[in-house]
Amino acid sequence: MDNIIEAFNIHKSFPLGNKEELHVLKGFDFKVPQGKLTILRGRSGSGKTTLLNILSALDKPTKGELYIDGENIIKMSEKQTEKFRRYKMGFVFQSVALVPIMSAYENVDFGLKLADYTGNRDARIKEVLRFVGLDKRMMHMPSQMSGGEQQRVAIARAVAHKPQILFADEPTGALDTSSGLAVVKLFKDLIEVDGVTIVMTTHDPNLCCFGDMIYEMDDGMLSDVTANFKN
Amino acid sequence: MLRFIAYKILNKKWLNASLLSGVILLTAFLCVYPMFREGSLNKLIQTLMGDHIETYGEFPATVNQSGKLLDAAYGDLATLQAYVDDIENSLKTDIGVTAVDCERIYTLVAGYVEPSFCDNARQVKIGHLPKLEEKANLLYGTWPKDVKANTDENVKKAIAANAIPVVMSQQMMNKYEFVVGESISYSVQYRGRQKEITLVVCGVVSENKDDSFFWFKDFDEYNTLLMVDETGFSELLKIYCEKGIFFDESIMIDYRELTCRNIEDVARRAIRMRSANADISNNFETTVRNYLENKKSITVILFTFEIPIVALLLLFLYMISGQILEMETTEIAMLKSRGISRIKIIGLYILQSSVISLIGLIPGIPLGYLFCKVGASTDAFLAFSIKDVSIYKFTFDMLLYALIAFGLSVLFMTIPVIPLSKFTITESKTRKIKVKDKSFWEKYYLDLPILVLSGYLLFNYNRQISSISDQLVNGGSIDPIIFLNSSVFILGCGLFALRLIHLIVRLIYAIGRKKWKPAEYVSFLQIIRNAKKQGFISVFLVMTIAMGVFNANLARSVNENMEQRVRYNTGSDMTITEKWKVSVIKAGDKMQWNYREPDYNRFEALKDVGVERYTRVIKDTNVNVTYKNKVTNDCTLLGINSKEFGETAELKDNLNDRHWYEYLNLLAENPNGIIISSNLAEKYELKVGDSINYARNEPVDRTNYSMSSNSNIIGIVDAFPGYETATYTTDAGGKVIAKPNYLIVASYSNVVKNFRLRPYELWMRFSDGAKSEDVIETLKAQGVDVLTSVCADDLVEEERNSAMLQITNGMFSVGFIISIIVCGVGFLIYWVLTIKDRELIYGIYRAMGLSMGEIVRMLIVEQVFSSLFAAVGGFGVGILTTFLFTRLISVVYLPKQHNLPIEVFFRADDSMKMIVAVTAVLIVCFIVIYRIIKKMNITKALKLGED
Repeated sequence: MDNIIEAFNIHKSFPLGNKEELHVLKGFDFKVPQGKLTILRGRSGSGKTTLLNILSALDKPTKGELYIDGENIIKMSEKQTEKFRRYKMGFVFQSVALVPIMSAYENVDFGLKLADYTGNRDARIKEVLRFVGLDKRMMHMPSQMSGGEQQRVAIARAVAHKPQILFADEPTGALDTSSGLAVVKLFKDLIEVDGVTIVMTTHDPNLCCFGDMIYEMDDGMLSDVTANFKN
Repeated sequence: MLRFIAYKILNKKWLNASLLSGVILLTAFLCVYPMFREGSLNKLIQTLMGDHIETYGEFPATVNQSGKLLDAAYGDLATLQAYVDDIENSLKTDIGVTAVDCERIYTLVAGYVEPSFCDNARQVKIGHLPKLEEKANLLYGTWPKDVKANTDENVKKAIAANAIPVVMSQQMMNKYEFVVGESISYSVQYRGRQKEITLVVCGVVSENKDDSFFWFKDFDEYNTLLMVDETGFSELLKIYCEKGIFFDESIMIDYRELTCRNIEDVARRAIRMRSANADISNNFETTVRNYLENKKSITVILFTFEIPIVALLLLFLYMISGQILEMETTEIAMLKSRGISRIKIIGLYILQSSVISLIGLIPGIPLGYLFCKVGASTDAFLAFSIKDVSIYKFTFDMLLYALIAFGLSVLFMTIPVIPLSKFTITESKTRKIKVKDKSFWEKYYLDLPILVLSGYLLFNYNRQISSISDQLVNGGSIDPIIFLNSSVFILGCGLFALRLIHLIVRLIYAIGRKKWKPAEYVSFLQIIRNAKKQGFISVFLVMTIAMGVFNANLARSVNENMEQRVRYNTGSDMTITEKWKVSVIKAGDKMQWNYREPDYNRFEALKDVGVERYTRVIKDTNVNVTYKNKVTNDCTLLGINSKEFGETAELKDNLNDRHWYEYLNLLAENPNGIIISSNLAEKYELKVGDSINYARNEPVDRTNYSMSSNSNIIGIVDAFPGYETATYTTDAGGKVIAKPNYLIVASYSNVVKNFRLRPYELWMRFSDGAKSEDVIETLKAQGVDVLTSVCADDLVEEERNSAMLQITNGMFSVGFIISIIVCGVGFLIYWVLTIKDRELIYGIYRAMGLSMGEIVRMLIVEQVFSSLFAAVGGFGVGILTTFLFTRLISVVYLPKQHNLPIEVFFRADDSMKMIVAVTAVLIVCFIVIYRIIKKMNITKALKLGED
């Protein structure tokens, strides 16, 4: 099986002010298989969001190497990482983070514009919104939708431009159990239909059964790795 | 509770500091009103008193009591003096203002007397001024008390024959041709017999000019009075107590003590005294009446200038308070959800607002004091100079206005909490995420009725413009709506401009909808969908800039129109008249006055003090014009040397059909012809080529028009240097009416040929930097006895310092400074908060791959289409308001008819001041915003968003 992300000896520290540092990631290797759902699990403060930020090129490690799709991310300029994120990645956040002044349709359209989507934008928007089950509420504003619905629009926006990898930081954190399950099921469907690689963090043990690869994090280290591949 | 409030305030220290700055500015601006008003009114009183001195040549605030005493008891000087002393004391007590001096004169009527050296009898009075020796200078001879030292033989002889020594004024000497040594004898009835009285002139006196308070009447008025000393007067009293002793007691009150606080009370006392005793009079009732008329105008103008800025400041407080509360909605909703009543929540915020407002009062009052001093130092809009502004003083009314500021601040800071206090936590969250695309005014089209109302009012006022000016000329009070309507128009038009801007932005967005790059796409949607939130700052920008542009142009127009009118009326930079020597000769059976022209070459020295050109101009405002047996009195004749006049006088180009030099050329080619004013031509249906007769009166007998000239009309003008189309007079009913003034311009040589040589005016043209004081000094050094002088620069300066213009320039300048500060702070706060509010969304944009440059571009597009468009809209509204309202409002300042129509002045440097100020504010704001965004860390922003 090919790995789309490979990280080696990843360290991340944050300065604390009095010349001391907080060592959040304490040096470990990490791999993400292509076209699978990888789950980072751990308690709050275990370092999973920091790791996700580094994997998604939002942040740089203090030490270590990171390759995404064979390219060394650490050596890339800011402009290059921006491009990388723009075209190859999709993001879903815990706080939903739809643009409040845009309708569901416009939010997805914004994602497509950002990625310079060359195909028929209108058709694609409708397609992804239908996929997340919101084709009837395309013109609704975020304020007119429930938290679960908003997160589904965020997913539609994140995947509309067909990214290689989708990063999701606690995507179910702000949702009730059934909405959370619906989101994870949606992720599974995406993998099946578009072959997207998904990396998500969660602290919910109930969702781990859906992951193909489950990394357990504890105090900045990987404490356990479970592979759950069906084929 | 107070600790909790202190914690809350400190928790949002920058926002609360802005709120505090708003309260300080509001307090300061409200405190400017009473201080500026009081200072202006006091200044007005002093100006009117000065005008009285200039017009009547007398002390401007005197109370007088005169009477006749006919009683043997008053044959004793001590009894008489005690009686008049009582009157003096009672006048002083009743008027209640410190008397700077008192003038007392006792008069005895001598009747027609036979002087020793003159042929004819002269009518004289004998007077005794107790303080004469102290207040007058002896020019020739001796004082009566020193008469024994007099060397004049005639005096010696007369004194030896028991004549009573007297002194006389120079004016009497000139009028009656008396000399020292002149004996005056007459007889009066005394105890049933004729008693012979002989007086002898032993000296000539003049007033001591340093004692201007005492000589409140022009010394000319003593031209029939022979003045005796105490001894002589005591002697005469014994005789005159049977015939009648007249006394005249005048007390001069210290008019520097008259202020807006006591002047009306003093006037009331004076009227009461006059009504109670017909012998009592005063000379300042008209001045007080003028003051009261002006007071109304000053109060109205100041008040109407206050309103828009106060409204802007209240809007600012409301906006900032709203922003703070927006951030505290969860807190408020939490309190509400926990069962705390609305009243208690509102009470908490009232207390918080009171603490901030109370702190704001402390620096607000001294800042108001400073603003007033700064405002009083203006010469034009935003043009300051160092001048004496000590008349503007702290007043206790400022404390009252500070309290009003306190009340208003608390109210406007608390208003936004009223609707918020009703939401529970769930309602609050739903409300918070709602997209607010339209403001209240936009939704309900409030801009349109406001615009229609102000347009209707403007139309009506413009229709009544001549009756408004008539009313103002007659001392009517200013209609405040004239001023306020411009602010209402700015509001209506500003909102309408914003509506248009929103439509334009929507249109631009719609046109490129499919093609907009992500940054522009977000920006447009941000402007369109978030209009309500941005609405406040846009309204703020439009209002501030529009008001700034309008106020600058209005102040400029009023100043320039005033200056142009003053310069037009003066005709040149300076004019003077000189006292000429005159002799009377008999020509046939008539007396003829012959003037001797002083040496004209003396004026050459004026070139050393910056007088570039000068020319003689004969000006006579009492000329009769006859045409087909119809006579018009009081026309103005100008006798000019065309070439010199053209080089010296000034006239704007566009006032006549042709350049005025062409008319001067016509006069040079036809020295016997005349130029007349168009109103004279209209009156008699005259045209070029017609002939009219014009006549001048004799110098002393103004009714005797013995000299006249027939001349052909060679040109007809609407305007000419120094010629005003109307003069204003007061009719019997006290109504000020405009009387048409007609002009005839003839060549100097022709006027001299037809009417003989008479004193002329000297018109001068200055080079840059020349001053009237230097001119007067030089003239004095050349021995020129200057009778009158008028300097255009001095008059302009005087007008600029008049209460009305001072208020206009001062209030507009201070108001503009305040609105720029408020606009800057408001703008900065709005954007900093907006950026903070958008931190998560910017983090997401960055996470999605949007570059820093694109985020900045997003902000620039948003700024251009919201702030810049609003700023441009504000400029547009300001310019439109200028052209619609300036003429109308200028009438309030210049209500009189004039050859120069009121013009709208729009100067680029005024706009530049505005542009520089607004741009500086926008740049500072943008730098701050950019720094915030630059510092923004994506992961931190996302984290913050999650929190």
